Amino acid sequence: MAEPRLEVRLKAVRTEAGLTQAELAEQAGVSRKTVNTVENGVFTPSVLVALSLARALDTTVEALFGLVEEPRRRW
Amino acid sequence: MSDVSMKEAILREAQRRRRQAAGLIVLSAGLALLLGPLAVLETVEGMARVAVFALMAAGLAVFLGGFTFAFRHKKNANSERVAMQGNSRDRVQREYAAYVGFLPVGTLLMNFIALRSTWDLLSGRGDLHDWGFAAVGPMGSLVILQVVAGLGRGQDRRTKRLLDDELVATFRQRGLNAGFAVAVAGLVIGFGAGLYEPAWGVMAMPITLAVAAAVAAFRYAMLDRQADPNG
Repeated sequence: MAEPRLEVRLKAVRTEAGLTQAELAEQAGVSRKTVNTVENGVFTPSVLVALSLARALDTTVEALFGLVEEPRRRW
Repeated sequence: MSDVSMKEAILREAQRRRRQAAGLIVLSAGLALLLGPLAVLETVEGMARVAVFALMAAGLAVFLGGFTFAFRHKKNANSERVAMQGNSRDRVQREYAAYVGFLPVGTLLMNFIALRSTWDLLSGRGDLHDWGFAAVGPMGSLVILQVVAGLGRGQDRRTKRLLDDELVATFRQRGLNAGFAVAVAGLVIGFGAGLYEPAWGVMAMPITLAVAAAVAAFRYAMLDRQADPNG
């Protein structure tokens, strides 16, 4: 049975746009830590922050985040 | 400043912070060694009393050594350069996390005095002053929990706006969760101790509150540090 998991593509899109974490944070109006933790999958942002990041990178939220199906772990 | 020299500056700053933290840990251990024996000083005599004084002297030496080491690695121009990195939101959040992380250390002595007064009251030796001192400990713990929760801070509107974002709210929540878990564990242990010896149950209350507040504050500061790209 598959289980949906959040895939974060923020780092790839940001690097492609030639921005540093600090520059993206400045443009999106969030802290650098927010960008760092979102990229590392430590923190899942709200729709508001996701939209701000997407707007700062001139892209869509779907380009930054996606759902991937993963087989359910058996313990 | 180029990326390479900034990276070097960040590495140097991380090393300075580690050394300063080591100095502060040694300082705290020395303080505990210096003040801890005070609790039994009045109950011992003869050679035991000399041993207690020797322990306190060793504590003073450790305290001074830790203080000197920490002072030698205090903030410098490089620290300022690294601190100025990022936007104003980053700076406000970094300073706040450092403040939260320091609070439990800053209230250590206050808690020690409060616990001594509590014990004196429970032993029937307390006076009016002890009632006041005993109340100071839990009040300090409540202030720490209030700061971690982000309630009633005396900050201006701009600082509040920069500080309170989603990530900080998550850190607050996780910090308080950790503190709550410790509080529940402490209450259970305190309840058990109180059944055996009622005075121990009462003593467990301020200790539990102090440890829970310290854990909440340290958890917050730790999460903030882990989230920092500079480590």
